[in-house]
Amino acid sequence: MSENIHQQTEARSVNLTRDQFVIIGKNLEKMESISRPSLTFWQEAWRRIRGNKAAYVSLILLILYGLLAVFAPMFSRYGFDQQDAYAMSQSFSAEHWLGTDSLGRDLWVRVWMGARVSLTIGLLAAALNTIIGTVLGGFCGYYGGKFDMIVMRIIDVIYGIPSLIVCILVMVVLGSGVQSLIIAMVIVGWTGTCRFTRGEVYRLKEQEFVLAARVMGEPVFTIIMREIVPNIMGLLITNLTMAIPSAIFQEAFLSYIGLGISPPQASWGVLAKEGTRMLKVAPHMLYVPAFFICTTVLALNQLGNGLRDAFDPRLRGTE
Amino acid sequence: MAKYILKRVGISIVTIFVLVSVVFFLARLMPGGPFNDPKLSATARENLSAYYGFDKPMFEQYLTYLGNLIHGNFGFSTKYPSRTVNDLLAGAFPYSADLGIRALCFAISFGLVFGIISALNRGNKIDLIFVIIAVFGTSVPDFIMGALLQHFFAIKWGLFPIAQYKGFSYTILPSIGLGFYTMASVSRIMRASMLEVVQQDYIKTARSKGISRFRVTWKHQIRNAIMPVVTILGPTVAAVLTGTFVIESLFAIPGMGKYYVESVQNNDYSLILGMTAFYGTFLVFCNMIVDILYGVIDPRVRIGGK
Amino acid sequence: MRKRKLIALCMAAVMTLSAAGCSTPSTSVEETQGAASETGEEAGGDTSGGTAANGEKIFRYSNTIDIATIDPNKSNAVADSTVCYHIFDGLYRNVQGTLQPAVAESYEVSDDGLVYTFTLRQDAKWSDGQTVTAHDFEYGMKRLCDPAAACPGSYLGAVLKNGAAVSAEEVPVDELGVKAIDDFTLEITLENPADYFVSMLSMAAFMPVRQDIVEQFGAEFGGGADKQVYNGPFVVTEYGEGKLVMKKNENYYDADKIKLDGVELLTVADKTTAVSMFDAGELDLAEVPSELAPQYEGQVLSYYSGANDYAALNHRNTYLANKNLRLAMNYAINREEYNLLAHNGLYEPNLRYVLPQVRGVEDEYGTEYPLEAFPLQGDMDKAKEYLDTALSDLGLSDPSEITFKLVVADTDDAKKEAEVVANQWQNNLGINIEINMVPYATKNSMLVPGSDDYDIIMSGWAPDYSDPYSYLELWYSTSRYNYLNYDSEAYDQYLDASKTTTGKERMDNLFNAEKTLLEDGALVPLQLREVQYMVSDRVQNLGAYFIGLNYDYMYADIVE
Repeated sequence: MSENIHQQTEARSVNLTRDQFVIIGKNLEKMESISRPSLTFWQEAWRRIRGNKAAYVSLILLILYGLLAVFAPMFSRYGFDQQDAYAMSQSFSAEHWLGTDSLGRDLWVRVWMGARVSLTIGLLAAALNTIIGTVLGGFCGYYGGKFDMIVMRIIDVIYGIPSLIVCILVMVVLGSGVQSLIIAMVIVGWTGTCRFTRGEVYRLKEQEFVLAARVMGEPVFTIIMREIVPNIMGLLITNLTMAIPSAIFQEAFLSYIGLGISPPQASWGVLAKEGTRMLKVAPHMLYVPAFFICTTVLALNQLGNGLRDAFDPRLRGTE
Repeated sequence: MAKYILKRVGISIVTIFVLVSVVFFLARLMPGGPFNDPKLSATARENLSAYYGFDKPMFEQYLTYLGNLIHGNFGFSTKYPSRTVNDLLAGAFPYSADLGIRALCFAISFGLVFGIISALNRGNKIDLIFVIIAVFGTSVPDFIMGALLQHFFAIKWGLFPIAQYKGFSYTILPSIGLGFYTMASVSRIMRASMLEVVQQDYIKTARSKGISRFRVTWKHQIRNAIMPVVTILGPTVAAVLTGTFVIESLFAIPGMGKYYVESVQNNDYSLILGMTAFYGTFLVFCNMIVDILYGVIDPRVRIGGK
Repeated sequence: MRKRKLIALCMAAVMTLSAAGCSTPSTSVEETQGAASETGEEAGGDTSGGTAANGEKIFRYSNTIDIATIDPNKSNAVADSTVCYHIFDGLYRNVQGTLQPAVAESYEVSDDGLVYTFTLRQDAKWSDGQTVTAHDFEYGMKRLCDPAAACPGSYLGAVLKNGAAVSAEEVPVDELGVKAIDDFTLEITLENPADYFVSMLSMAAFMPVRQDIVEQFGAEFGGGADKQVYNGPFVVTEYGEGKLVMKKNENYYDADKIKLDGVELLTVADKTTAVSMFDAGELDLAEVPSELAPQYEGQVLSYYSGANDYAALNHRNTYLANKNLRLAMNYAINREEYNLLAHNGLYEPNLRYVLPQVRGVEDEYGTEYPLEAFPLQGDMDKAKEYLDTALSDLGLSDPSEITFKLVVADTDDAKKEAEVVANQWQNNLGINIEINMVPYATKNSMLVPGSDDYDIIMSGWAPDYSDPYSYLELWYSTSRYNYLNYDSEAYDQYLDASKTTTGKERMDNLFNAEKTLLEDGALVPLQLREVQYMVSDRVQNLGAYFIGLNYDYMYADIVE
């Protein structure tokens, strides 16, 4: 088969003569023109996100949740801690859209007050974890050797310390509240990102383009910022979107064992925990917070997938 | 290589030593102390402290503890005054290990199967069902998952026993509850990895050579796609084996999970340290194995920093 | 239904496959039956437990945590004491308030009420065949107070002569007021006269203990079923992870009256799970969390656990030192609504301080000395009045200038209670309450006199003996419990007077002390805890009590 093609082209080339071609000259304008608008890294990423339906819908949903968390409690006629002995554990109704909890408090308001807590904790804890983890992990991966060894062993130690002890101690020092929860989570949480970034940097620094930059005499900082970070940006952002759910889960677990924010404030984790106790009597008390936890985590996952594709340098410029 | 592993083992032992030391002092910073029953008289508290040696200078206590630790003796629990920590852990560990291994078997086998089926049926209804299962699994916290499983499968429909751990049918719901999250993530990773592999040239080559679709999938696609799953298993094993508190308490399984929470809540120093040393050793060695494997699997990663 | 079975079978089958793939470690987890034979029957929700199948009468109940120890001197939690009550036999048995001779056949009291002489029966045997002697009781009580043994319940031994001094290492153990005259005669001397002393004798702390066994096992005494001997109606055959199994003691002198063949006590951490297990016939007794109780209306029984819960006000706080403010806070609580919100209306709102069910002179204290210190639904007008007076006393213009830190433990119930109380104070008085949730151990460690760690703390007290004094002794100005930092001359005087008087006169003094406490609004009483529980129809003769144990199944029987 391939031999056949070869013969055909050879046969045709014999028939080509010089007068079959015309010189059309240079069109400088056309040569310089850019056929597609030039996009920055971020524009390109945004364009690709919009192309990804699931990620786009997720983003809108998350923004919607954020807005509701800010505004819904302001425009409700119930206070989030307003109890009603005569409307306990009611299901969905016109008065209480999402029903009431076991103290007769309106769940619609409590869900959005809870969203404030859960989303704040999720976003801040995840962001701090990612920043600290990336910087340390980057250095560990790039330099290796003793520094890397020591940081990795510190991580092993932190990983082994029961996180409950850390949480309780932070709360003793700072008092219970959202900020203590975030700090406690960051103290134990940055280790994952650090290990992960280190592994990526470890892999990348042996690659040719980094070697080239080094040979050309670029300083270490520039190499990390210009050569390595863009290559792991996608993974980092994905990691961030995955870290938010795990922070939300972690907060929920802490609420489950009773360590969390002080009442009457509630997070989604606290609401869900109260709900599991009421599963037999008033299942909506579990379903409502579970729905919001699920959809948020789901949206974050989809957004994470979209972002990973959007930031992957290998996919740049492709449709 | 042998020298590297030896060095790594040495470092791991130092790490565990540091871990135990840190927790030793952190635990004593916790408010309350182990004898916090408001009914106890001050003298009873002093007597109890003396009995457990908590009245000695902190550093002396620390040295005594290390001495005992070297002999594998974790001391007496303060919450369970007649039982040693060794006894408590030895009693509870088999349950946790059994449950953890079952959960992992469930998670890995089902995760792989779901991921593969899903990838092979990309885009159609079957794929959608498995993707929904996977997405659901990774977005529900374990205590909600456990409560729902128990509520529907055991209480409402009576398909499985409600709680306890005394026979095969008792292990099913807790294993699923514990392993569901891992199952879902394995299935997602497997699906993605399968889809990536299917575009590789060697698959096209194999297909064009006329190898049957089944053989291509089995021999080439799955074997290559499974690697990313293997790499996430290290941390996952640790997470499953340590994350048993919720499931154990829900299904009344007498495993170690409860000590993880209870020991801290009761300021039961010896039990906290026993748990830490036990799990810490486990985690540190897991990480060590992953690091060594890292070098073995990926030839581009040089070992020993030469 | 068939479909469901099919699903179950499929799931089970695949699980078998996946389980077969991995090697199960050699564990103590019993694989009782083959997988295939089990799934079919059990999946159908077969409720007859394996226990009843061979005709044995096994009573099954549960507790949320493992039994900490079966060493009677060291048991402290009520669930542990309950087990001890059933596996040991003390001098006397307090059967839900009625005294009944046990190892002692009779006793005599000296005229000053200080020296008790017990005559022991000679046919009481330990489970290893040895005779129970007065020396075992002497050793047990000495060990209770011995500082070297470090028993948490040593505060109970303070009732014995030199009890507190022995614990504090001020006098040697030999000077404790307990002495075996011969094998079957025991002489106990008390520190102060105490009418209620004999009723305390079935508490775990006063059980006989065998010296040779303690010496044999050392610190591990009571750490396993075989590291203990028993002289009660039951013996422990299995004590380990998640489970304690008792069997009828055939050596027990009164074995004829014991109907049960055995008892199984499971650890079920989640109360909702326990209720479901009860529904499925896997437990004979389950405590019902208050949110589930309405579902089981008609089935639910209840008993007073003895705990009287209150919001303790710290008088060291400058605002709370003001009596009018404290009274305002008392009148501002609508205890009916509180109880409805926090406990579905199932606990009893407490309008006084002492549990009315404790013993008075002849009858229950509450019947002899009724008291309703605060109206059930509160009195908002009175609250406002007191608040206004308080504000002018304190030189404040607006109640919102007052902010209190309310400390509460991180348990579900306590959290709910705190939320309701805080809400009522905020709405009805306009003062600010900041709830501070802390781990249970941390909260307990705050309950000491002279602390400034809290302004208000959610707390309660369970009595050690059936007498108002057990509640009232807490707030004596120099009491080691006085975490209210309450200092009232009148109150102290009434309590002092109660120590030198007897009978009705003594009870009058105690009642006056209680009235003083409440008129000062020293604390905000909230509720008397009533434990809701269900018992299966097949169980008869089960009792519950509030001192030294929770459930009494000694004489229980199971009829099919």
